[in-house]
Amino acid sequence: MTSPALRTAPQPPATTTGTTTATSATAAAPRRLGVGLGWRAEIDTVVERQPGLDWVEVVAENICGGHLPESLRILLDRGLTVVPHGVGLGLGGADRPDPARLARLAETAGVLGSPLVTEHLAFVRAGGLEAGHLLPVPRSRDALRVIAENVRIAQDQLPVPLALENIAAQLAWPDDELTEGQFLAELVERTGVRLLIDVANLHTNRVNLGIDPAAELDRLPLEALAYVHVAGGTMVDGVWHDTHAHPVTEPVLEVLAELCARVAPPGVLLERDAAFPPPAELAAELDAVRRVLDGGR
Amino acid sequence: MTADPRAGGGAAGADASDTDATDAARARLAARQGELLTALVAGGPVPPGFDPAQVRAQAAGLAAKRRDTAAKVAPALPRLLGAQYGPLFLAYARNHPQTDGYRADARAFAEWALTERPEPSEEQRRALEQWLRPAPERRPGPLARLRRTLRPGRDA
Repeated sequence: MTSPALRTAPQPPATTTGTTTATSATAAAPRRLGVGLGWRAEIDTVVERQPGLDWVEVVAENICGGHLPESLRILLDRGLTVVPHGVGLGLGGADRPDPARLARLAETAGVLGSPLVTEHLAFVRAGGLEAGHLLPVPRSRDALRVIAENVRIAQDQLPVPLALENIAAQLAWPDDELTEGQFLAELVERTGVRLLIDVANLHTNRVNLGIDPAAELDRLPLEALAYVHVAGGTMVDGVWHDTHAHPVTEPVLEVLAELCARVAPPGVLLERDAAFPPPAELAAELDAVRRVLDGGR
Repeated sequence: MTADPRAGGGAAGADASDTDATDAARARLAARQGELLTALVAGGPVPPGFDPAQVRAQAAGLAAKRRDTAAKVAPALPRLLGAQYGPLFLAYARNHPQTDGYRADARAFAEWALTERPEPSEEQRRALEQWLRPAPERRPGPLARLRRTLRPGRDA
């Protein structure tokens, strides 16, 4: 089940010399991020006070380049890496990515001095309607052609590498010819895009759609892995809801362990978006993630 | 509509046909995604081949997400409407697909809750009105200031 060849893949040095060379972005080895937490305005001081936090991620659309929240300034001054995570670009849509949205994402990455930006393999609007959330793309050869071009357009406009995330879905397209892992692997090969693997989303799709997370991990080119998302959710009537508002559960950590058996992830980030627990509870969840990374559980 | 320079090193003709093929694929993808999204957020029929139960689950998930996000960008609305906020928002969402950002959505919902739903209470009507069209801030006039000073212990 594990692949020793990947397991022993050499890790990049923990520090880079000087500033990131953005121009040779796609060829660069993944930068080590460490263990991070999603920065949210509601828990800004909690994030600031988390012991041993290596980095944070911010929802890109919530950041206005000219007016960074004070809390993010503090974290940046402390030398923490801040990565913008987009949710509204819709790179999996039929239209070419909107130049204004792309420009804003590029500006945010610049203001934050981020080593990369991330988005989703998803569509969020079509025919004048907004989904308001991430929807799965049909994983057909046809869609692959379109989305690969969308990714290349985005890469051309962004100052740093782009990584794409697998999403949690509640439905499957009849058009699917590839698994999500295969589709992402094709995108990596065609565009050099990097991967953000959400192990909670793999778990969600296991419960709701019957996919096998281990098989999906086997299909993914994990050498392109930029970092990993971990989040909590809850089961309602046999359906897994990836709420980011509940504690991280053991099955999600098991998928993380499956991933760690294949590759040492350059970074792992805990996402919590609502029903924020006491700071100690978040700290305990981060520790649970660290234990999985250390292999001792 | 320029050809992607990285799409292939062949002759210009090959690039052009490549671009044509991608544009045709875009049109097909747009139709498929439009059909599904209409089913999910605008009451359209479930497109052929999809599992209706899955489409219902995803539609419910989208509506809940939209309700919660609108509450987040406009926390006054769940505060004003209390326990009615959730059911009211979902009733609104069923016939009003989102076409713009969340702030616009929250405002459109408030307008709907004010004018189109049956019988908002007088208190809610006033609160929604005020939230939608807050009176311009004015310095209290001399009379108001006098009234305030005549009511010791009641800070404005």
